[in-house]
Amino acid sequence: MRIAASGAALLLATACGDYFMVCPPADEAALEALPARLSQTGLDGDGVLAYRPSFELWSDGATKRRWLWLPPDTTIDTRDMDDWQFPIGTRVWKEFSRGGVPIETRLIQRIEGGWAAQAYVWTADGADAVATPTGYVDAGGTTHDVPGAGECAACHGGRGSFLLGVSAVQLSHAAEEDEVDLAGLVARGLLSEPPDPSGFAVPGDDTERAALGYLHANCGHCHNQVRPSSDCFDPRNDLDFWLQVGRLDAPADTPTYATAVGTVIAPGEPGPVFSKLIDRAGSRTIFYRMPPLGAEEVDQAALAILRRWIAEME
Amino acid sequence: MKRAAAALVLLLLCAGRDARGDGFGASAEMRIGAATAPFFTEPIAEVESELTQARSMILVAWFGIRPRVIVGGRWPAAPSLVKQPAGSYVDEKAFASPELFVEDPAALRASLGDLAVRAGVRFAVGLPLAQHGPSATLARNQTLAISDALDGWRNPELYTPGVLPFTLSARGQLARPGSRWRVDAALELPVLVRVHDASLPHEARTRAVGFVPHAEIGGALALARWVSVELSSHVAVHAPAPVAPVRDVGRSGAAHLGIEPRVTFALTPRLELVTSYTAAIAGPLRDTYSFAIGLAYRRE
Repeated sequence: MRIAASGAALLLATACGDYFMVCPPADEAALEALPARLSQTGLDGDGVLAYRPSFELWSDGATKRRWLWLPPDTTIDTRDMDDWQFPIGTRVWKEFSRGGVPIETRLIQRIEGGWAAQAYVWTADGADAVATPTGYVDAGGTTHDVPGAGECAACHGGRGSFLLGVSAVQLSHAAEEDEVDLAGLVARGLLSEPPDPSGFAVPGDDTERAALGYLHANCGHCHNQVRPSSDCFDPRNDLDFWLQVGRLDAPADTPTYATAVGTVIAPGEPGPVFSKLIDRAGSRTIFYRMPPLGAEEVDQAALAILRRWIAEME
Repeated sequence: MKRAAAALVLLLLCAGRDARGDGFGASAEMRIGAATAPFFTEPIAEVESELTQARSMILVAWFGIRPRVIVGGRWPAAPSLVKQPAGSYVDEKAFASPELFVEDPAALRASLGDLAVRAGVRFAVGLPLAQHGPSATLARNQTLAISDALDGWRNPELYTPGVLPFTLSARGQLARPGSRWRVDAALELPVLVRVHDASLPHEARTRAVGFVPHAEIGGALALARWVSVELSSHVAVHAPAPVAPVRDVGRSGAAHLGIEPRVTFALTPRLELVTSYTAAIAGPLRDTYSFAIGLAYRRE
């Protein structure tokens, strides 16, 4: 029934030329700015900083590592603390591993006029990774799908900053010894308008923080009200899951509570019938699942947190 | 090149207005559905277009230049959406390769008892104009492969980029004069000669010559003067494929078997509306199905 309804909606949307899952193909000119091999991208160079966001995007349980590099003598423009602007030449890498074996490493680089992004798929011998702008289905003999270069903007294009994990909220935690956090960026003088190094804490108890953080990391890049204009994965609704530094006094202050509670979340009703958010987060049905990209399995642990959070709501 | 081909076709069409012979006709068909097919690169070993996103379009025009000699052309397009690895879609429409043909629709007329047999033969040459690339994403190559699969590999000469196709085909009918039923059969023998690599990556296993014969057999029954129903089955074989799959994703096998029920409405004595449903029964194109609607005009 659900599939039939989704199919009917899709048919209508297609007939009307209004299909939100269609994204432009990769910009070939932008891809030319990126090297052919990961070893040529500077990941092993000086000034590369490892970092980890407080709340991670679900990727079917893949283990991830991340790095950031800023060109010398540059800073991140943090005048808008919710939407950092990065200097031309900025690079971030994100490595995906399964069972301790690297499958792919994604590179996003700030270029003149925007961003260039693609994935590098590791060779079988682990010696290097090769640029794979087509993406790769079931890479490395696993079920992990490497996105095509044109798909990067589907998620990252939902925020003007483009780098979803390098933000005030996401780096407001005590990093491991070999990683950098918000305080570390402040100490290194890498932020144009440095905030208080103690950062921005997500409000609430453990369950509330976990739920708000999950929704921020997995949903907020599409579901926010300041996304750049694009037809690609624009939800075209009022939901906003992006945590803002000025709205963290209490859970009820967050855009999540303001836009989702009472609409897609029925307080005290954690089941899929009344809380549509649970229904869609717990589904992998085509055109119905949320998030719509990048995962083939439901994040059961996160779903349990969301259910508990909703159940405890008054 | 494209303009020259278009001009040639237009010239032929204009010349046909005053031609003597077997009249002229035109048809247009659009097919829409879902397709999954093996692809021929290591990273993308399978192309997919879900629900209504797989599409193909073919325009046909022909006219008689002499008794029993018809010339014409086919103009295909591949407007499919291509599913990308993470789950988004790319809308990279691609023009496929147009084709010119010469045909004798009544090469054979014979009787088998009280049954009449009629068969025609056609020879066609395609123009290797199918859009392909861009090489980084292969989006148009994927679109063409999806539309080719949607057609059940029955028109590889149209949807295979980078090849010069030569196709010999025959189509026959068996019927009892005055009866409502008939049996149709067709055999197509496209030879696909590679002329360029169509932006395929270096690991793609292209072949200098591909051969994808297909055969079709079915029966039709006229329910009334204005409507008839048909049921046919077709098989297409990669023998060999113009590009061989590089990675096995469980869609191996060279033969595709499909079935197609069809309903034809005679809107006027010269104009027909044709609707059909095509589904893969077995082979690498399983999970592929489509609905087609077309208009055909004929004046003889």
